[in-house]
Amino acid sequence: MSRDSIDSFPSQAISHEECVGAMSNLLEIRDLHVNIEDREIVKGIDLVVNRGEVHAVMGPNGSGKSTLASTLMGHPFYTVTRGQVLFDGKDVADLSADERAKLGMFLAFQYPHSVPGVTVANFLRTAVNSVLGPENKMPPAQFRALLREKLALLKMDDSMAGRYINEGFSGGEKKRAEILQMAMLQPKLAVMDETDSGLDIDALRVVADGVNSLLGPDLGVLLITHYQRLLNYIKPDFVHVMVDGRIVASGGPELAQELERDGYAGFIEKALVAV
Amino acid sequence: MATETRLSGLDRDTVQTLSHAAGEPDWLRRRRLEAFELFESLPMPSRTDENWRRTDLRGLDLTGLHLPRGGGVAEAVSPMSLRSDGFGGELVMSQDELVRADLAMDLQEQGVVFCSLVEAIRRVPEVVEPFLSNPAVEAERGKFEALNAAFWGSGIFLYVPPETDVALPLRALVGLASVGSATFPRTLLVVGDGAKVVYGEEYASPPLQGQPTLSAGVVEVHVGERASLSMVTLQEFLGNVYDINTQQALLARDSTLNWLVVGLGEGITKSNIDVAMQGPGASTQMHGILWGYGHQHTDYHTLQDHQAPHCTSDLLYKGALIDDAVSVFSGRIRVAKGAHRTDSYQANRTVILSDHAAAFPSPNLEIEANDVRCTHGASVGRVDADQLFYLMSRGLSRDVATKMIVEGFFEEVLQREPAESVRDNLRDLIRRKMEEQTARA
Ligand SMILES: Nc1ncnc2c1ncn2[C@@H]1O[C@H](COP(=O)(O)OP(=O)(O)OP(=O)(O)O)[C@@H](O)[C@H]1O
Ligand SMILES: [Mg+2]
Repeated sequence: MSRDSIDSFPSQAISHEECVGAMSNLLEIRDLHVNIEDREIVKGIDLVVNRGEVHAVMGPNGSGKSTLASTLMGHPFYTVTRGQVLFDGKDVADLSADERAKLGMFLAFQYPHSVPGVTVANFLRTAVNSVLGPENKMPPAQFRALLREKLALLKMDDSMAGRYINEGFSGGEKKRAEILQMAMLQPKLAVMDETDSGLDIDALRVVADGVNSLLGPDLGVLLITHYQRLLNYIKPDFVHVMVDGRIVASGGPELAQELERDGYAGFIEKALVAV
Repeated sequence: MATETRLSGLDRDTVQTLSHAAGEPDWLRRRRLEAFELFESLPMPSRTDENWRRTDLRGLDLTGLHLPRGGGVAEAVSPMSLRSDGFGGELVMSQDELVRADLAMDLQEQGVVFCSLVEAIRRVPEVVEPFLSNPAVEAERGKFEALNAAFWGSGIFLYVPPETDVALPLRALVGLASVGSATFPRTLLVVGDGAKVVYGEEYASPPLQGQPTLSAGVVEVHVGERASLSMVTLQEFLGNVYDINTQQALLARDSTLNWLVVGLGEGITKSNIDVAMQGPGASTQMHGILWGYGHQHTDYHTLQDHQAPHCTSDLLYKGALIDDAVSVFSGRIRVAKGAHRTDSYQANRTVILSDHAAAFPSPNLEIEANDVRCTHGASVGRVDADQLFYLMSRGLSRDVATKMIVEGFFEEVLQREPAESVRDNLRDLIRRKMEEQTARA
């Protein structure tokens, strides 16, 4: 497939009107612009992720991928200056991060933060019960069983549950712990920001298996990565190339292979020409 | 219940009346009267005094206070918050009067004494008198120390004979019950050479609103050679209570004191907490947790007093402040001449959870010896925004996420507490207390 044809690949943007009456898109990003302080980082993104779809976003360092991810989750540091994020058809602009989590949004952080003195188990118990809501609290025994099951799924030692959140975790342990949290919270949309970075080959397979086991007709995934390697394990339905705050190309899995072979140079040039 | 003795207030007659009523020896009555004279001669501390720079006593009118003794307030004492898997003994005071004192039979047989100080003067005068006639906290220290020396009531006394290992913890409660009253708690702990004990002391009251209520306490702790004392002091006075106290521990050679101070009260607290390492090789761990809310004002003055060589002190006080709470922490390390090979560490950390809360830490080192290692650090900051976002992104509300971060912040202090049951108990208490406020900032 030539690059031109990729550029003209119709994006999944179904206009909103067409959705009326049908089930709305899981995630719909419309002309999103995001500032950090006064600097524009995300410069107009349109993207639709439906239930059951895996989308990969690839792009050079500093192109705004993590900014997009944090904005989706509602980080107060990032200012949306234009555009919209719709989740299940609902504009989430006014929702705080916890409210978005309760709707079923999840972000696996590129750099997960540590919280000294708070154990993973205590945190997850609180998180699971927050997301389930006060009427549906999970009984403690059921919670412990679920946690053990998910620890096993990610081949993590039971003792991880008693450790403080990300405190002293190795890079790989942090990434596994992010997917553990995702497995416990069972979101509808998972945004994974470079979950593969810092993982050795075996860990990558474990994490990918973990993610694959969570995939299904109801889960939408936005996978931010630099490496084709991950996409060998988690098969994307769509691949998008992000350069300088914009999606400059979208295609199928073959686009990732092309990037692996040729790098971003061609796309960067194109992005510059476009400005 | 005895009928109420008519007391006119904090005057000389009251000292006389109380002392006679208690059937005290003459020497003790003389000491009380001398202390009263000293109290009268000393001015009320004001903010021009260095030690009172940040604590304002203008709202406290000493002449308006009453002494509710013999008035049957004993029943109003709230249940104790300090818990453990079991206790070897328990003592309850209401205001300045003993409600009950229990001590396990085997401990009594080992020679442990746990009773009111007044009773100890009768039962074991030879043990008590030396400490009363040469007190660790002298009346001369200041106006409130003098006031306590003149008016202290039943008092708390614990004696652990040398080489005695008290397997189960002991606990005591001082409960305030009467608005506008003055209470003068006094505790004397004597841990004999080579003895070992865990002791918890709790100060509590229901909400005492309206005119100020005063608790002016003194705690004296003597830890013998090679002895070990692990102590928790919990304060949860509610309402408009002024808690002005001085606590002094004296550590003999190779002894150990592990002291955790937990502040959950609501009023104005001024607490002097001094640990003097008098014998070589003594060591102390001083820990503090402060949850500040409402209009709470807490002023801690700590002293790590290295008087002998080869001693170690490690202080970690942590606070979290919400609403309009203010905390002052003045931490001093003093290393006397000749106290070489001192190893002293001090850290005070405060998290601020609202725009109106404030913390004023001031570390202070006086070192007159060579070959010492002293480090100190203080920090005041907000909850980390990225940590908060991280927890919130998992569905925790801002309030719950903030408190979880604060709990984690306190956990470092709790982890230094040796007994797991004590850690669990305090963790629950603090959590319950924090749930009463909502973090918005
Ligand atoms: N907290 C911040 N303060 C200031 N600038 C920031 C901040 N976060 C991101 N930026 C800037 O925004 C731009 C985009 O950063 P972002 O982290 O979104 O890129 P990225 O595509 O995720 O890069 P990488 O592949 O290296 O993870 C960069 O220039 C970065 O320096
Ligand atoms: Mg990034």
